[in-house]
Amino acid sequence: MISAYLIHLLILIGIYLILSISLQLSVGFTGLLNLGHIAFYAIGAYTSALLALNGFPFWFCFLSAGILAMIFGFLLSLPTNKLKGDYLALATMGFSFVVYAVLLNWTSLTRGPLGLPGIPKPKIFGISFSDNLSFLILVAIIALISYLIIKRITVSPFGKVLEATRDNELLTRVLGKNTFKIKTISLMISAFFAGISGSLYAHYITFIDPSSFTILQLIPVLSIIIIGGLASLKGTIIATIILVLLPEPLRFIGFPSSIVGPARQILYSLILLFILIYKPKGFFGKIELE
Amino acid sequence: MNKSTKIIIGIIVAVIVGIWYGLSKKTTTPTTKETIKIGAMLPLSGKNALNGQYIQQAIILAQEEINQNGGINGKKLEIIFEDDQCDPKVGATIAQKLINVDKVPLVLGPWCSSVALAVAPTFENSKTIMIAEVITPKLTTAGDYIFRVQPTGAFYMKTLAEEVVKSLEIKKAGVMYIGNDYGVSVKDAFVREFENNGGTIVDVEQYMDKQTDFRTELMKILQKNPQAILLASYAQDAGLILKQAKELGINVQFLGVPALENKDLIKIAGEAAEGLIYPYHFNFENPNENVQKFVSSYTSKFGHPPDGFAVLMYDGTYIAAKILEKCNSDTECMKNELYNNTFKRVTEIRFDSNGDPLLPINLKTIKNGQFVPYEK
Repeated sequence: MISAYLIHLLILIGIYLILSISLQLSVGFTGLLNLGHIAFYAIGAYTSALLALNGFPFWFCFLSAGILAMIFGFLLSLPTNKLKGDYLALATMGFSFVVYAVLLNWTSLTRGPLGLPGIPKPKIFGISFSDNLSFLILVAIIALISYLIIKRITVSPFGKVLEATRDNELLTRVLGKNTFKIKTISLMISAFFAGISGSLYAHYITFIDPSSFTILQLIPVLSIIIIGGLASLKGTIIATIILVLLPEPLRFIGFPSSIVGPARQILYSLILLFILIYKPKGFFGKIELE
Repeated sequence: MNKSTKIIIGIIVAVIVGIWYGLSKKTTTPTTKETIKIGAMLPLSGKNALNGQYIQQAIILAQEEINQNGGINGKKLEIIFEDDQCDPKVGATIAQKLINVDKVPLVLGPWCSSVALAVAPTFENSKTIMIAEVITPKLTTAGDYIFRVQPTGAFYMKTLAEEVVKSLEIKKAGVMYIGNDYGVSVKDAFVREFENNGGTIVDVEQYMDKQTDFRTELMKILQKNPQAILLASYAQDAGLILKQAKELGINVQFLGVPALENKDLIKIAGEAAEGLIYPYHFNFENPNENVQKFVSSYTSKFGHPPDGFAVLMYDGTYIAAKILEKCNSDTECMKNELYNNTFKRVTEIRFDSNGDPLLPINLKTIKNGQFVPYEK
């Protein structure tokens, strides 16, 4: 059954899509170079997993994952609201490290490096999503709803203010907009979607450990939004599909077995490099961050 | 249609055609008649690549030997290597690919506990045999089709505790262990086994990861007068503990865990490591013909001697070949073969009802900076 392999890849695309369009909202549309996104993803995954392992129903775990991540988004925005550009990037990156360290060391809750095995597959009102095809439908619906919500936000007047804040924060404040509040809301929405994406990941793979949530895991997501083009949702979708699928054809190139691992990664990064050389702003990029 | 749209469509088409080509090539190749394909998933890049490399080399060596000796029922053994990067998500993709595209009946690996726990349900549901090499105790109950060639820490402790009480006549022991799940599970196993054999645990001291001074813990244990102290540690911290114990003039028998058979221990502890007793599954000086042939051909082919992981997966590959020979690709039959046979090559492996290996464990010690079998 080749289709099972493709279904698996489509599920990964769905999970990454939610993660990358939410990062696009804070980085592309609001101009917050947010490297703490993976931490929201981690918080979502662990919240959902721990609740589910203690017998709570999936919809509750799923929403709690989003809401708890959103609360942490709010908390992160408090100390970082006045920071910009590289400084914000460093501060949010610090947040990622803190969350990672907590997951690793709070062993009585998270079981530390051993991780949480046996996370149940989702079940909503008696409908079980235990096989991959039904899980794909669930992920597709959630990804579509997330996309529509974020699309709606970006075309709304609020979305225009977000972009104005990104382009010229001082001018936006002169026009009477509370940019601190706007940035906080943007970060919270972004964190919410990262959280639910983490929840889907945890229930799909059924095993999580802190090593899935290091800063290195953020790099593919950042690559997606940069290659897709900042502030472009269409570009993000296309880039998600390409970046998730790209390693797969490389598996069928017959490298000698002793160099198979490194050779595929070299080829993968070369392709990404060429895309950025020919399209420095990504596929549909409208802006460049300072 | 502008230029950028064309480029994007081009890339998408290229990727899809690539996957399509790969899939169709794999499913229609006529050579499937003459080869038997199995999968191997290991960390081949990233920080665990070195461990993955040793195991991969052992698999390649075993594969070449099997094919030179006529293959499996006249068919060549083909191994599809995949790099799981120690990432559960990548592992899950590879598992789907190996099961559904390559249609392998059996997979060697993974080595990383996180990947193993993530893919075990997928292999179990598709009735694909998995022969992993991981230490996590959680894998024991993962399913009927899930096996491993690496014993858990607890398994080694059984032999150690028994031997220590019976032949060394040590009745009172203390334990120092590292404060993580590895340390805790080994400590618990040792305490249980030691007491079952009639010994008494006089003191248990925990220390933290990255700690470098162990004098306090050593002095505390020493006040209780143990005859021996078990170090449930890694090579680096055990090295420091042994060194500091010698500086303090402590003269008790130290016991160790398999992870201590590592050159770092001798580098750090030097002379202080002499006389440490620990359980291990392999002896590189064993005069057995298979063992010597394996060590010498591995060393001459790859330029360095094999490690303990390589040994086990070398045997794992032979186990795979043996059950494939008997069952073709009937995994139900393969599963029963694994449960009902003893596999003898370099080591001697039998699987218990959970798919965990039962293999002979012997005590080893350190003499003149070398890891050698322990003789009383």
